[in-house]
Amino acid sequence: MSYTITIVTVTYNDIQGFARTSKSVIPQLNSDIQWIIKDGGSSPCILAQIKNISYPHALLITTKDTSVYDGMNIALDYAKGKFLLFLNGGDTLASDDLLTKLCRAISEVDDTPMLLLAPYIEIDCYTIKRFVNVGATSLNYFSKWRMPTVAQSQLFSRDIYTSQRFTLNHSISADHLFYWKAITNFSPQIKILNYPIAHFYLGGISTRFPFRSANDVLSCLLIDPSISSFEALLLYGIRLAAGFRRYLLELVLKPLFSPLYVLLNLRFRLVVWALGINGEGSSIIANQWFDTVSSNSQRTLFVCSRGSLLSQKLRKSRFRDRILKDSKNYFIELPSFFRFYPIHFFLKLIIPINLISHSLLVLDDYPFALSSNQVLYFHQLNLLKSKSIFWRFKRFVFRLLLSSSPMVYCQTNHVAKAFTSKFTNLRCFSFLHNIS
Amino acid sequence: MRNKPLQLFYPASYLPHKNHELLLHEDLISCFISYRIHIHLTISPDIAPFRSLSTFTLWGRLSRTQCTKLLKNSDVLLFPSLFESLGLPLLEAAQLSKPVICPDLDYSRELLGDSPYYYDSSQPIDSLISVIKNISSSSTLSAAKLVKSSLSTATAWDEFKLRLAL
Repeated sequence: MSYTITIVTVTYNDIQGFARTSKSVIPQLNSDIQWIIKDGGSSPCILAQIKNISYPHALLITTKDTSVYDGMNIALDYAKGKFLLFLNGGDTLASDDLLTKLCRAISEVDDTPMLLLAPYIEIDCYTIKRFVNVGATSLNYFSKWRMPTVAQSQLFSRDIYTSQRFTLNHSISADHLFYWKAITNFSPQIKILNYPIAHFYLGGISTRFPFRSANDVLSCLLIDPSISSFEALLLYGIRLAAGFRRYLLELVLKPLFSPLYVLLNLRFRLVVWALGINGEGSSIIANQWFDTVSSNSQRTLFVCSRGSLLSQKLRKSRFRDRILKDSKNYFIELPSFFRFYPIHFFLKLIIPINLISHSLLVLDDYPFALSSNQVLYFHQLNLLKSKSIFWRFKRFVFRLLLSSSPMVYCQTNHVAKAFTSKFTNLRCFSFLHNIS
Repeated sequence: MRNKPLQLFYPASYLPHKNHELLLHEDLISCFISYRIHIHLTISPDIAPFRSLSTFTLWGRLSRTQCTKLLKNSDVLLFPSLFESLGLPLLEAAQLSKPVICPDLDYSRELLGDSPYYYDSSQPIDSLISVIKNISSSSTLSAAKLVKSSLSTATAWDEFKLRLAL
């Protein structure tokens, strides 16, 4: 019998993690899905609980293995699905209808070597979620310090696994090595899905041991003949810096400050930042955004500047009065000198807005350098096209701020196209607005 | 030839990419005069080259209501801008069923498709003159139409909520 998808779950003595995974997978199973559970030698009482799973297309393999990647290799021998999804003990699917959506997406692709990539949802120690988009998929060496998305949000077609397996001498980064080798050797067609596949829980080995994780990646890079030793060291440095940044944020800063913010009741779900908005068109759009977001039940902080055209429009529509009625939302008008570009840029460079907010919607074109989980609403075409020194300088600052890799939205397709041709590493989406 | 002068309206700030300078070309000025074209601009009345020409009326910065009113009272929206992220006046002109003269560029194509009176942006003077001649000799002008069904912020917000894991 053949299946559309084979889900492989490798587990070892972790009944809580396995329960979490099975709770997420079981309600979505159907005859198109094969589920292989590879147990690496758990205690009899745990194994008895795993055996309780009654699903006709589930296969439990209990042979001993030496590591997670060894377990994954063993499971591959039994896989019959067109595509494989590795969802190990503890990982969960991002939505309730995900497997149906994946089967539909697979029915639309060819049988040639194929790779489906999707975003994922990162969950931190405070169960705060963050949507992470698919990164660069190009084969330039600079992108090789990481994969475009986590292994749990990648589905390679089965034909790739018949001639390539996970190496067993990289305990952390064998998936990383597998990914780039598969891309180089098979040049699979890549389809990028726009919905997340898996939840990824921070705090695992790669977060807790950034040095070990970077070393493992370095050893992967050094055996790649297309990368010189110097380039490998450079990528190692980037990986190490990214690893320590995550370590600091997740295991030092957040545990240190988050209880304080929870205590002071200052943490917002969303900040809508429109400090720099002062033009006619952009004020109309920003006004619409303020109205739309405030009518949703999110705990939101709205920021604009005093005396701006947007501020005048908000006064006219009595936005502040409406906000004050709703105790969940806050509205701040900062003094107009904050609109002055050097100050505006400086704020965007230094404020770690995630310390007070889960996510961020930036309406005034320049993202925050130190904030993750932000959507940048981009509409300043001068930043892409103008050749004046003034705009060149702003473009330089923009590039600096883009280090936070925000999700970028534009009003129109032609701006999205111009944006992605200038900033090739970022994905950009577009839509048209209804102006009334 | 029309009895009354044709009223063209260009709502835009005085910025280089808005391409006001194009309208000052001497061939175009003489074309405007001979075909009785009058152009309303929302730039400051102090801007020297325009101030001295009777073809132009300079209104200074107008509120959105005033702009809409002026657009309603005009015959045609003139929009020579070189690039726009959206082009709000184009949307408004289509909503008011006004004819539009604009360069054949990405931004105008994406919003209005084939419906405007296009001129060639690589040879703007000759091309714009022939458009002016064309509309001056027509008894009825065709209105611009939006080609895309536009999205509201509410629809986009649903997408953002997903992207921000809210």
